[in-house]
Amino acid sequence: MTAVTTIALVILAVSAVIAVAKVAASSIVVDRAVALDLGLLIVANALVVVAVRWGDDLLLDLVLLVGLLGFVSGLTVARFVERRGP
Amino acid sequence: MTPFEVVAAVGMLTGSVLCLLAAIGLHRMPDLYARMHAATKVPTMALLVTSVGAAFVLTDAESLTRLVLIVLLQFLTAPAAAHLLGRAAHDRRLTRSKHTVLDELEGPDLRP
Repeated sequence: MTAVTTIALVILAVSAVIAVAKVAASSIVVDRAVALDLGLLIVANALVVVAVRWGDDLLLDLVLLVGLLGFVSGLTVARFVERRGP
Repeated sequence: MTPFEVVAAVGMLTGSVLCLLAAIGLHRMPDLYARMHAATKVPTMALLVTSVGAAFVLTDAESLTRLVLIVLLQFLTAPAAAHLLGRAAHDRRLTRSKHTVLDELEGPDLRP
């Protein structure tokens, strides 16, 4: 099980790096917000995998928190874009 | 490995590969409206698959409740946030690529 979670975490780390590269490459605010949202969801996925690896359900509370954080940040950026433009 | 652990492993690996595909799609898609497909729907699906896989290993009641809550919350909130972002970008006239042929929101604004 440890080997499987290691492989999954490596794949997730690579995808997080690719998502953050999009944040650096793009110049549109909404684009960056979408890419960061994807990064946050990748972190949530990684937390679930780590919870399986450690057999610890405390990390699942953190996943709930990360999900809520992504929602609120999306709403905030949408308000910002409505006022200032993309 | 027990059969349950095999299912969990398949779930977690599928979820990870879906996340990788979403990140690649973020670079490959031509404009924001197409990119949002890759960046919002795919990782939500990945979280569902990973959580179902995790539910085969973390089988006590507390973990199962939390996993169900995670998936429910994500499926309720992710489309709402993504829709608001896309709507805001469209309202502020973010141009779309010539490959995106259909704009359901063009024409007069009918919102009250």
